[in-house]
Amino acid sequence: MFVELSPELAGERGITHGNWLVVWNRRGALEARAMVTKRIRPLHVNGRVLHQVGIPFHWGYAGETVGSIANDLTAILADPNVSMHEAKAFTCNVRSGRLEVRDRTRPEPVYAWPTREAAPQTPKSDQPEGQAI
Amino acid sequence: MSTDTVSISDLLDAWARPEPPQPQEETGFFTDTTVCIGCKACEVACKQWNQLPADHFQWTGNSYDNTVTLSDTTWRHVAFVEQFDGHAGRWLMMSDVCKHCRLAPCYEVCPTGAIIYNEFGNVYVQQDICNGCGYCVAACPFGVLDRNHDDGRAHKCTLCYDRQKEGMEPACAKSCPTDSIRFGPITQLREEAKQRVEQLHARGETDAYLYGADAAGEYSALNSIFLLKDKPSVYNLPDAPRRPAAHLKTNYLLSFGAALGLAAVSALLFAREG
Repeated sequence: MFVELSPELAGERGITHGNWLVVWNRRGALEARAMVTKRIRPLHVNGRVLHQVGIPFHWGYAGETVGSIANDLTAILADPNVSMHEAKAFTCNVRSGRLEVRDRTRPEPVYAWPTREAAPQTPKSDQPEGQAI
Repeated sequence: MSTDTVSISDLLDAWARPEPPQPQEETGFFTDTTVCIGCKACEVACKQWNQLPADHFQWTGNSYDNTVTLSDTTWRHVAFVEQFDGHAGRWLMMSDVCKHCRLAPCYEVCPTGAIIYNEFGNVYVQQDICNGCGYCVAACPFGVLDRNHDDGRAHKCTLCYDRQKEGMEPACAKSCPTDSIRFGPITQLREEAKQRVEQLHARGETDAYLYGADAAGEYSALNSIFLLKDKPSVYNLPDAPRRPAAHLKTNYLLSFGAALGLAAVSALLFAREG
């Protein structure tokens, strides 16, 4: 999991590219690696500087790669017309570092999922998708 | 009871060569980077069709590029180039692939004849013949070929030879949602590519140009051409690709000259001593 943020915000909060940062709001907190990029630009609204961060939602506690869950920060609400999560923009705060206490409501062990048994004595290139162990 | 007699003709069959397939129209790729959205569907489709392992799960921090490079198990690689230093920024994306050069250095250096041009004019590595010497890896100026750590052989894009034989387009071109990757007869693709450049020029995008459409310097034209918007080196492509065989004569003469020179010097020194 990574979070994109502007060099301006990173400088303000002492966050460096590739290091850990914590994004939190009243609903939850998550930790991720910082991707400092000029693609993300601060907005100027009514004379105030508003910073944006970009959080991809493609990670969870299971899968080929694991990471924090973006939806820990979002409100649970769905668009009734399309049954799709609609609250993809929200306020949050960032700081450098990692979460001190892991979220105990989530299962602790990281499961290898989906389980793919490596076929014995078969070169990796001939294996089906997934990691040969 | 069957009699297992072996006739001379049975033995000679081992040397029999089947008729090579009839040459077809040359095919290739045209990758229009101006419409690439960086979705990496081509990478995934390639891995799925060719049964390549999902690997390299490292976050690089280099934009959205976690694939890093073409390799033995990655035959499509989407490069991401962030150019946001000026006021108006742009995010360049390019799906890199084997260039299927018309005169490929890997083909020239392969000592076993494993690398061939198949009936579609594509550079193809025959896995049952490759002995894993790795000459092609060093010869390719684009860094396309790579040896597999498990089977030791060189692997690269086959231009979905198996699909083409069935009249289907390669998996990457099929999956590309914006048609950034186009597949077809290469003469037709070259025309399309030139028209696309003209179209972009007419719209004021004057930095668009074709990479590999024509032979340049010592290098042949490519059967996998790219429409780029910046210098090739920005996309991690060589500005002037080198073909090692083009330097053979010079290098041989140079080493011959050096040998002669050294022989002359040592003869001179021995003569002095005596």
